[in-house]
Amino acid sequence: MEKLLEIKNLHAQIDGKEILKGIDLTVNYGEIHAIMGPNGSGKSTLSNVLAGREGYEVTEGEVIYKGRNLLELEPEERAREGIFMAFQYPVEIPGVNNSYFLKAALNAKLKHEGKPEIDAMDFLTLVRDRMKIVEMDDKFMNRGVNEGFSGGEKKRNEILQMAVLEPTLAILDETDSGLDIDALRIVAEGVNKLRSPERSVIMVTHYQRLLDYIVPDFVHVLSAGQIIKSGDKSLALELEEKGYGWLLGEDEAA
Amino acid sequence: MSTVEHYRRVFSDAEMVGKDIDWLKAEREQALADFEEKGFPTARNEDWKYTRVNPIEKKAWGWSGKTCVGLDPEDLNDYVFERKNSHVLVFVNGWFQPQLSTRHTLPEGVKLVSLAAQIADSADELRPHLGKVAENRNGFMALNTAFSSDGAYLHVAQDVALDKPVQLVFIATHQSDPVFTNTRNLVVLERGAQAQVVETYGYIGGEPENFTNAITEAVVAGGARLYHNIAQRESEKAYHVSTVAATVAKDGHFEQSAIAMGGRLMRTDINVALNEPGAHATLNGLYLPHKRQHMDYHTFIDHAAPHCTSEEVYRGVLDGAGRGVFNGKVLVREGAVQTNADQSNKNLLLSKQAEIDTKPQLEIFNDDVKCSHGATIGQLDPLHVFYLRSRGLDEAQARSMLTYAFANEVVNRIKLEPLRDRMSMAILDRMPGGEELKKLV
Repeated sequence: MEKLLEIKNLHAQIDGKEILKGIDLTVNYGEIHAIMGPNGSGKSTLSNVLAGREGYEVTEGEVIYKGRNLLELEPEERAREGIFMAFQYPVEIPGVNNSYFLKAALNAKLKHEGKPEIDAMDFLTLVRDRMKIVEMDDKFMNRGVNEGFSGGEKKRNEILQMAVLEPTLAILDETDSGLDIDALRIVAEGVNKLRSPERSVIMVTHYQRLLDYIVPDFVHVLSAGQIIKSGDKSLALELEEKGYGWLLGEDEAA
Repeated sequence: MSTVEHYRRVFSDAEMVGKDIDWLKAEREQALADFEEKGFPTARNEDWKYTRVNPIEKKAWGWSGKTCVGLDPEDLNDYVFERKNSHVLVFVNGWFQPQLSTRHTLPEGVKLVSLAAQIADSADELRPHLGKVAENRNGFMALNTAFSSDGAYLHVAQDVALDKPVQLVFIATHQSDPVFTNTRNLVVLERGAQAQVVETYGYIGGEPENFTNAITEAVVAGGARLYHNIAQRESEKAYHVSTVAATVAKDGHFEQSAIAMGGRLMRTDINVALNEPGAHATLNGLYLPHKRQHMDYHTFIDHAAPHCTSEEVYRGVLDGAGRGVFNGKVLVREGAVQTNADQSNKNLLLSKQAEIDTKPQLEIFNDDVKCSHGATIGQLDPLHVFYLRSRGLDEAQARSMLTYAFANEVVNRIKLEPLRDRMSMAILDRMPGGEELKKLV
């Protein structure tokens, strides 16, 4: 299988504090990887480093994406190359219209791919179609980005953006946190609809329940900035049953 | 030659309108004497602490005569919207230009003429109001009163609503010698009358180093509603000093949106007196200095009667080495119980060199009032910028989109839709990547 993403010995820090302490992970095209771990294990740091957020300093190691050094790319270049991170806490941006923001994002990607910009009618048709996937109402499009959205609406808006931008690598950063069971189902269905041999997903989550809806090919357990165990979906079930303490030292288990 | 000698000579040579009208002549001479006494404001004056006017003072501004202007109405398209659906009065270098203007049939009871025409026709009609709303508080105002000869005069009779908006367009063109224009506008709404007025200041050809010294006086009688707008889009080499003074009577409503984009140095004072119970003022403002522009808004809302309300929303977007000043004074006089006054001033600094001095100033002289004010100074939220970039927008585009959103909070408060659209587009024109954004919004 062809490699989409290869993370080698990745070390990263925030404010001088080392969070990632040597991550190795390979994601092939079409695969879904779940990254699980207790709070503070570095899950969100990994997501943010991949998306290119400022303030996360990579001190060692490399990340190869589509055969290129990912870490050299600006966040927008990563996005145009097909990386999409669904935020754990999607920000509210009052006054920036949801619809024109999304259109700008799509056009940036199309332009990067050497394709013509989408016209207003086609865009509307596309967005309406994708909104059905996440069961979002039209009225959300003319509001500010996430402005006044409930927690579940924000997450659905992330998945809508993903469905419109059709990324090659989707990173879901604790997308299940704060979701009730209905919203979780909608979000998961949105992700499942996007499953394809050309697309890979990294799901970062604390809980197993998301994996009931989006079944991963691989499960990795992250602890103290390192992947301490990898396996298939049964690993997640085992974790659910035994808790993280099962894999961690006694102190942490307590 | 001293400043005083210079302006006295300009005064005696100037071809002012209405030189033979005794009361007008006396007022002008008094104003010139006031100017000689006050001079141009200095930094010692608290109200002018952050705005140095030396560049204006240093130049020997001369009288702007009536010159022939080779312009067509289409040349003004940047500044005029919907000519078919509004009354447009165009002034070039201070003088009314009927050939560039459009006046549709006016409803009965509405008079819309140039000030010069009104002075020639019947100056006495102006006398009860001219110079009564705006006193000569400083040297600039005194100069205006001494020299003003043209501008717009709008009078709306009792209970008449002027349905089409009035656009007053003041254009500067390049002139070989430095000239100043002392535009004077007077708007009188009788009881229950309504009107919408837009003052646009702009330029055509080159970047004139003109000096606009303008005053607008507005009388809003009982139950009348005036929607007043200012689009200050002068050349970035121009000097613009102006005052809008309004009095609002019982249950009257004065609502204004002021947007400043142009000028090398701008100072605008907005003084609204809520003189009788139930009067209301809304003041919206947006200043966008960039490069080396300096923009100063001083607003003053005088709650002189009980049960009056005011709402003020001013925002600044400061880029380059741009500098902004906001001073928002709200005075609640003794006896003005049940006053409700809100003021907010938010500023966005886009560069390290940009600077803002903001001063909310509440002076309250009795109990039983509800007053609030708040001033903030901030930068774009890095997380917002990252969010947009993480979706593929480049940094400049992301910043422009966020800046535009910030500015639009004020633009969206403009009641007049075509003006609102114009202002949005004009703001985008000044932003990096604005062309791209224009296609989206």
